[in-house]
Amino acid sequence: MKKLIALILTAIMLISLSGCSADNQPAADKAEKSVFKIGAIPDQNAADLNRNFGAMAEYLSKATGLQVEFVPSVDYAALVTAFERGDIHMAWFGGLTHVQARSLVPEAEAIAQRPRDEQFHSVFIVQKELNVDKLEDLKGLSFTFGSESSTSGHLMPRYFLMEAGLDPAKDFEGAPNFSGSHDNTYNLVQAGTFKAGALNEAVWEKAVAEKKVDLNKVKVFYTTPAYYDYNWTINSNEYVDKVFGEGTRQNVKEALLSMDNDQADILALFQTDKFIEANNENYQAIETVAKKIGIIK
Amino acid sequence: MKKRNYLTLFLTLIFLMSFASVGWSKNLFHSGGSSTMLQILKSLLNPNLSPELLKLAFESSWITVAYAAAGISLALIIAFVLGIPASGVLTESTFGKWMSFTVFRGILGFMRSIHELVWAWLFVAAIGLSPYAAIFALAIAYGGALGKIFAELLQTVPQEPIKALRSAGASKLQILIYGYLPQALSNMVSYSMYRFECAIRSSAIMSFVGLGGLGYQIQLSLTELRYNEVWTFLFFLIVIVSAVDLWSSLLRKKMAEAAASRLSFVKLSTVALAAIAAASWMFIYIAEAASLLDIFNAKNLEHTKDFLSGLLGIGQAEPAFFSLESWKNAIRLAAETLHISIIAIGLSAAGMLLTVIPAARNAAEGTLTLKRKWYNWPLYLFTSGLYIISRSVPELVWAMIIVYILKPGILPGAIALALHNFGILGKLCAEVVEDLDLRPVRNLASSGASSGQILVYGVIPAVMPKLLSYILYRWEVIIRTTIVVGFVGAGGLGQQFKLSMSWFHYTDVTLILICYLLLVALVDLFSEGCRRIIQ
Amino acid sequence: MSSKQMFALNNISKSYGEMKALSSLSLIVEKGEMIAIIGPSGAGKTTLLNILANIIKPDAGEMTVDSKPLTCYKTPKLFAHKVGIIRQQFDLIGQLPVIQNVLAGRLKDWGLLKSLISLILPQDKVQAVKALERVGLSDKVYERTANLSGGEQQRVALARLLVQKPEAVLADEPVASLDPARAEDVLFMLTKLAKEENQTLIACLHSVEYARKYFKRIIALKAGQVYFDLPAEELKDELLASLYSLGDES
Ligand SMILES: Nc1ncnc2c1ncn2[C@@H]1O[C@H](COP(=O)(O)OP(=O)(O)OP(=O)(O)O)[C@@H](O)[C@H]1O
Ligand SMILES: [Mg+2]
Repeated sequence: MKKLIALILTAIMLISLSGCSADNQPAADKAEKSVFKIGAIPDQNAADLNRNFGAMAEYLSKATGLQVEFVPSVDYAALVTAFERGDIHMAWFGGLTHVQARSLVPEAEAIAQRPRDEQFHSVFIVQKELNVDKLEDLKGLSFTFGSESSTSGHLMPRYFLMEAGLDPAKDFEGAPNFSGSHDNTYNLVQAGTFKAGALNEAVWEKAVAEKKVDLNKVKVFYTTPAYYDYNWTINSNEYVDKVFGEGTRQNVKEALLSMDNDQADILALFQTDKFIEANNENYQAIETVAKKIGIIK
Repeated sequence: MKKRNYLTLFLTLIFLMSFASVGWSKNLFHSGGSSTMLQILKSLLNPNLSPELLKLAFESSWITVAYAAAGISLALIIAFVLGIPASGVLTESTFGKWMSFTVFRGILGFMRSIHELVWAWLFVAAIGLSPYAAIFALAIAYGGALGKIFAELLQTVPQEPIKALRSAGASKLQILIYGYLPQALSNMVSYSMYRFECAIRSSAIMSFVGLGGLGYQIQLSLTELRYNEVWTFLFFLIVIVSAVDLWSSLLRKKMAEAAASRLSFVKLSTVALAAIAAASWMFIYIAEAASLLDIFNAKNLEHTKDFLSGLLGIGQAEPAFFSLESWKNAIRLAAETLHISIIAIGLSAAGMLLTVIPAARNAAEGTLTLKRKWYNWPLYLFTSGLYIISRSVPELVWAMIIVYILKPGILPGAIALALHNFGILGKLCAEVVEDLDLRPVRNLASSGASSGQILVYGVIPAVMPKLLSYILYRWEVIIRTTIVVGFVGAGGLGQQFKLSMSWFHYTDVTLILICYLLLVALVDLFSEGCRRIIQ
Repeated sequence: MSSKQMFALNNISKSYGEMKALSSLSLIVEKGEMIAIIGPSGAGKTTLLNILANIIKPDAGEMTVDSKPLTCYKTPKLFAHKVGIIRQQFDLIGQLPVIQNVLAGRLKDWGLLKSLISLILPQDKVQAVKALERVGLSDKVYERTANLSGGEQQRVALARLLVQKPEAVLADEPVASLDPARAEDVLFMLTKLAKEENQTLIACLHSVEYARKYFKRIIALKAGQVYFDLPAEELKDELLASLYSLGDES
């Protein structure tokens, strides 16, 4: 009897410790107080994000001397909340999440973006065999957006649909779906689960380049006019300069802007060759659209 | 005709009407739905069993169990702290009793009215993304449920020994620990074990607020359309849930047995459970580096305050709960939620009624209808296997799969709920059939009735009241869960809740929660009334 | 200092709605007396015992315990030093081990902490084991109480009284559910222990035979009143016949 109890106890402790060892690494890091944490909206699959932003964190550590770590998020809103709480010091936001974050942290600032983010587009995709070549043709088809907090996967596509005279709540076959991420959107359309969808142009181009999407099954039939999207937004002084030292915001910004051919492989993960300066005013239009649609009150 | 029959008829009619009012005109599946379903079913036959994936599955399983154990152990503390005063055994004055009934019951009722995932969401908004958001959520929802049952169990212990203790000069608290608790303990243990099983399922779906574990892996694999991995993780979940289920029924049996051997098994289980709880807390503390005390800091207090004042609409120009338009919308969504829940309970009840007889052990053995057929045993194994799979998979996971097959709207949510509750109802009701007094059946048989006649005249009338009250009871549970399947786009208040949370429209969240609580209270009241008629 | 009267009842009445369970009952019990209370079902025996044990309050009348009115016993703990009660076997917590049920008799002297500790590490164990030895259950100390036979359970209740050590013991049909051999065994032990401990013993019994055999004074109740109150040897069969006759029951 005693032996059995001892046996059970050791077995359970072993299991729990094996669980521990698997996660030990971040544990040690989390305990450390002054880690500069970067986050990203989970607009693509988790493995890709971990790779891209892991590499970026490593570069930033070297360039700024800070200890930089990437913290994955489950959904867009969770990242905004973490940012508001100062748990995330700098985030790769979309236009809408940037505006949301700024309404919660007025001092937050867009510091850098890719050239393409100044001229960003969403693409509308549809199953190839369907006879669809303008937005109006989507009437009566099943449709999926990306995340409900996504700029290029929801906000702007919804805006342009409305401009084209469609009411997303009524005009599709059933209510529109929210797939959660851009990857999911093209996967679902390709698998035939939904007939059409809208997503971020950059993700689409990457998927085409990496042959993740079968162009015999899915086609792009409409590309939206340009708008401002992704950027690096840094948190307020209270959470950055006060914690990591005066001038940290500036240092991080410079580290991003000074990336060049030496960091080509990291930049390639972001589908760009450099980062350029960004600023808060660029997102006025997004804010207006979000208000019009009712996402921001 | 008896009152009960009218009621049955009435409830069936409600269900049929709700069912008919779904927009059936269009195709149920969305265009690619059936092929997606085929893919999902096909991958059932070749789940991914590669060593790396199995390792991942083991780790995720442990995380899921650890969070469940941590949550339940905290829930037990809450249940004792609130359940004992709520039972009124410590108070004598009428005022004290009134206090305990209204105040403590009220708190417990409120805690369990809100689904654990909704709690989790609220906690994440208040204290940030920490394992404790999930643990507190489990602790509160389950603490409420356990506390209510504990209070009832304490109230119904035999009073004679209590009086004896009182006349032996024991104080109130001494009577509690020497009289009330020992007498109620075995029922408390078996109910807590049942809740532990539920907590494992709930812990699995905490991935929605950012927790690792089986649900997270299922979600990942699902969004990347790797169905064969989905099945692997589902199998793990099914095995864990069934193992705990088996353990708890064994424990219940042993505790009821008077044999001396009972002690060793019960003791062993106690030690094992305590060890699991201790290991879980250790794991969360060390591996997840989440200290409980860290949660209670000034920053979190500030955020919690902000969040609460956001919910209350303090300083806001037009809080949603003062706008007629928002109310109209919320009430429409509440009606939709009710609609979903009715279809869900109707479907699962229908499924249960069709399968419950073959799923009863006594039917398989041939003692129920006194006829033994070769297909009884295979049928029994098949249906009870179906029940296990159906109830081991949380409704939210069913919903995540089903939105890939069916068009978004009311139906996917209803079907997901129905799938999960089908297994639960089936198990509960098969036990009713198994416990049936068989003498009337034998009488029927000896007067020459066929198996069919025995079922219609003997078995069904005898079990129907019990089944009906189980169905109503499950409906109360379903209405609480309906909000949750909305998270994955299955409609109703849940979808709006998620959108409002994502868009930081906190006064809308408040309004939705008000409607949700009202709906839950209304359904509870109605169902309780119906059950009274049945008994 | 201490008086000779254990209980003194003066014009005690108790009604349940219309039903008069006890009407103007007066009674004096000296210390060390061994009293059996007999009477037909519904005569008020249990009601009387419960009033003596301060479990229920009379509607009217006065009562003293050890010459002091009940108001002097401010806490149940104080009262438990004076009076202990034993009934049929539902008195015990079946789920606890025997020793815990015996130690429940010590609760009146323990604080909460000590009682909590005792659930895991039995306190005052020697005393409990000694009590169990005296009732012949030294081999069942850690047995689950529910596993014991009815007679054994009743002896556990006796052991509890030994540990509680009240000055007076009230027993309500202590042997009602036992077979004759066990019933005699329990009664023998009950009276023997009471004698050894110099306790006052009052027991309600349905068996006149046992009442005569084990007790010195017999009080008969009928319809809530004392029908007779006699030494055991003066009990007449005619009296008993009319006590239990159905005819003049109103
Ligand atoms: N709690 C109660 N509520 C209402 N009536 C009661 C209650 N307790 C006792 N009575 C009534 O008071 C009367 C006396 O009851 P009591 O239990 O004292 O009788 P008893 O002499 O002990 O009978 P028995 O030999 O059957 O145990 C009975 O008529 C009984 O029905
Ligand atoms: Mg009686």
